[in-house]
Amino acid sequence: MLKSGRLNFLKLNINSRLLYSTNPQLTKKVIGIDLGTTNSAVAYIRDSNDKKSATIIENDEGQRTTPSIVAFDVKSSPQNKDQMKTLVGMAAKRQNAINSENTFFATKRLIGRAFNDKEVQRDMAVMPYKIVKCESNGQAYLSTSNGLIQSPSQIASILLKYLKQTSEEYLGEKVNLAVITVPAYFNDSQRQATKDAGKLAGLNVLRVINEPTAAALSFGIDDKRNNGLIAVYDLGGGTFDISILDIEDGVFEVRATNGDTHLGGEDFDNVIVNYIIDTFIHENPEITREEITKNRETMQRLKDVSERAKIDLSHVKKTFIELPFVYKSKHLRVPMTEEELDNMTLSLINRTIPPVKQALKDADIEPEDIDEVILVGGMTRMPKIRSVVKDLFGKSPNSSVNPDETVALGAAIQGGILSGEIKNVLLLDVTPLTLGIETFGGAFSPLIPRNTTVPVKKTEIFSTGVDGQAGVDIKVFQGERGLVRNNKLIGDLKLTGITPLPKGIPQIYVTFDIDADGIINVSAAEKSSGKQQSITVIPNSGLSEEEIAKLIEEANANRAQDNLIRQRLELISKADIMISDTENLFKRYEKLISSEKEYSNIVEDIKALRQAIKNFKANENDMSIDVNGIKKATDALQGRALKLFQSATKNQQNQGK
Amino acid sequence: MPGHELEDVINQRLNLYDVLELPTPLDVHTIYDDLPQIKRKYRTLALKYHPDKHPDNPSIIHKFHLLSTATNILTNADVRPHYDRWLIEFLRKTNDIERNKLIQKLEESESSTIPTTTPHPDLLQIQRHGELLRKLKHFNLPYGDWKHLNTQDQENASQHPYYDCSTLRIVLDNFLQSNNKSNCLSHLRNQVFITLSANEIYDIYFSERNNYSKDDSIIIYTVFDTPITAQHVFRNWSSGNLIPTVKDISPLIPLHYYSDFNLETELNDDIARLVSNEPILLD
Repeated sequence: MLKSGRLNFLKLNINSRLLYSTNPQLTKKVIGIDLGTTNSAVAYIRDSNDKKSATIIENDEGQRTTPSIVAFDVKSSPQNKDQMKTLVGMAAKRQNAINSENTFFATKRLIGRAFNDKEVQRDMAVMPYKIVKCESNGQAYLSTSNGLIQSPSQIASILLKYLKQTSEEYLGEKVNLAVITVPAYFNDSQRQATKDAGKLAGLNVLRVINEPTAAALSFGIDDKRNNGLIAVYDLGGGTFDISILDIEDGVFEVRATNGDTHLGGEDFDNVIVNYIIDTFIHENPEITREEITKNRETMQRLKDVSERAKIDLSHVKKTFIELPFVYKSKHLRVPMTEEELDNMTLSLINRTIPPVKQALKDADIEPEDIDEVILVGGMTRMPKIRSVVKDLFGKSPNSSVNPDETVALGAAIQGGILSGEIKNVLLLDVTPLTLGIETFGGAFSPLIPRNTTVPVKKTEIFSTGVDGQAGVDIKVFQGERGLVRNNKLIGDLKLTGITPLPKGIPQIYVTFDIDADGIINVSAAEKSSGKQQSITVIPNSGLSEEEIAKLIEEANANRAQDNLIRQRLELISKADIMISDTENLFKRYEKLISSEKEYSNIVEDIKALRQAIKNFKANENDMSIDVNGIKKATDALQGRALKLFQSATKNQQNQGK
Repeated sequence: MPGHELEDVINQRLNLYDVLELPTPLDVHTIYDDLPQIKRKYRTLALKYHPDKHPDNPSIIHKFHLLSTATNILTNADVRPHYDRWLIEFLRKTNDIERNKLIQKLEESESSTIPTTTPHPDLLQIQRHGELLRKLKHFNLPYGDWKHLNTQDQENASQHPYYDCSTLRIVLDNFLQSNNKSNCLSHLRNQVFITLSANEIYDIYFSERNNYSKDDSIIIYTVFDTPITAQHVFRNWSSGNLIPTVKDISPLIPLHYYSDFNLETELNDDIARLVSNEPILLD
């Protein structure tokens, strides 16, 4: 009798699993996405009545953050490179060592940048993948080893699509609204490129907000501590941001922001790699530095152990960097202490100090006026960073904030504000860079200063400098330098068709508009003769409107194919689970059921189905495999197994009598 | 850069204290103890007017821009004194202008007053006549019988060139006791106006109010061939040449149409009593 009860329990367990299903529905839920240089995270508002209920969405491997890595499996489709299999997140990271040329990480440092950018040129020397110049717009693009060229926005859109899919599976709803975070110091091109990535991924990006601002939202949303001045020190994988915010009565007002778009954990890793190489060469004089740096596999392995050592030294005082067979059968074992790491990276840490002081100055605030300092980004776990921050502000940073998750939570809260779910909370962000135009001699004339609250609009009146001049050329720049050549050109506005008049008489109204995303629009109108001519400059984001439309069309064309493959995968996964359950039951109760006449037949069928499933997994793209047949056979097999158990139970009861 | 914003604000004549719903200061501030108040007001209004709170109203962004501009200027220690100085002077001038306009309006209204003059004597006479008519109207007393004409007899008027000028209202004894036109016409020609030839009496018509079976007298409108004939008949009657069966003769048209005629008409006793200044004794 006891055994019979146990069998019933097992049946229920099997059936409850089979009954699971998902009904995707259209929703107005807004997800917050922290699109980080190294890691990304997604969050949402669980309970609209509780503004503190922002929750992280776990990915399909149960992790709360996802590596910001996209890889292409060049072997999966040698003939057609547009059909290559893509890997995202941890799956991409795991195969990095053996496919480093086609594994794209830290692409956030390239998004929205020109190929000739100084930072891009620097990255070309250290990245294992290939950075190429897009001939049509001069932007930095990425190339796989077999020649597929993608923009950083496209790479980011693959990651965002994965995050969107993960969210939909987690929530059981269709998700198409999102708020995405960017570094506070991102300029207009970088912001627009980030928005484009969301668009390519099928997301309607309601807002692009700054990472430190999102962190402050997450920190300050608690009513008990929602008033005061806070500083957000954000040192992530690739960027550094410092923001000063004033929180009062539900209004989060950014007073000042500053930072360095090219300073982060990756730079720390590179310092450690160089140290290891120096040590290794010192111990093995016959090996040259060039031999090691040119070997991509070796360099990738060195990077991995460097990152691990850096993380270890956040917890312990001393660690050993051990790596067998580094190069030419030589081994590596390098001890490293926390103090040594601090000394090595001191120049990098010191680079964060000037932006902090500038932000405090811009906000007209003394360090002692700050009520709370919160740390964001994985690098802030480094003890030396914390001590530097403590020295800067004269107080210990608040340690209640999770550096990896708080940005995504804040983005979800901003999504709630925009969708109306969260009321009585408002975020007032600022433009991080000054907007101006080129005037005589290449001088930069500021029009909208940095730290101006967005959205902001300003109209300037221009006129002609030459009699009969029929057009004006207005170059819009973004940056802080006194000469335009040191700042970034946002757009080139040419207004033509002006009525010829003596110089100084035409009235040309030029309006500069920075929207809430920090994206700039410029329009011009000439009214002296009663005419109005408007030209709106859409910033050069690396992808033109036509290119975006084409890419979206391609994604739509592939959607049916992708859905079909996903359905097949789901069917096989379910069959796999059922077969595993049946195998385990047979193994556990072998003595009980092995005497049944159907036992040997069922065992053979289990093996055959197991082989079929294994065959499918090895050839996922082979559409000739009958997935439905496998599933039906599995269902039938399970029915036969249940009958077998019933028969065995019955026989045992008879024997008991 | 706030200086440029200040120039825009002054050009637009903006009161930034109104924008932030704060009281306007009466003098230039040199000690800014109200900065926290300004910031608090800015946050309250931002929470109310920020575009994020009004996704369906794109134009609300202008209101938010104003809030930002106002806060930037009033919290800038270098710019605010200039703004306050301008605003106070601007408001003073504005108030002076309004006061001057008011004074001017008052003077104009005073100078435009027209002094009253003594009305003309004829006006007094006309007013008394109007008063008389109002009393007649009040007591529903008829002034002439023209409202009760018999419309069926109007077709004869188109043939006679001076129909109304040749008509006399005649009150007769009701001996016929009927409205037979031919009998009455024969009676007038043979019995009443025996001195006139037959063709001098052109036509007759009866008053609508005649009650032929009960009244002692009836009213007959007699149309003579010419106005001269009518005047002749009326002149004889008024000079005392009474006709036995006739009680009264009066012209249809107003009396002053007879330019050479003088008559001191006496109202009958009932009317004279009603229109006199003596109080009327009611039942």
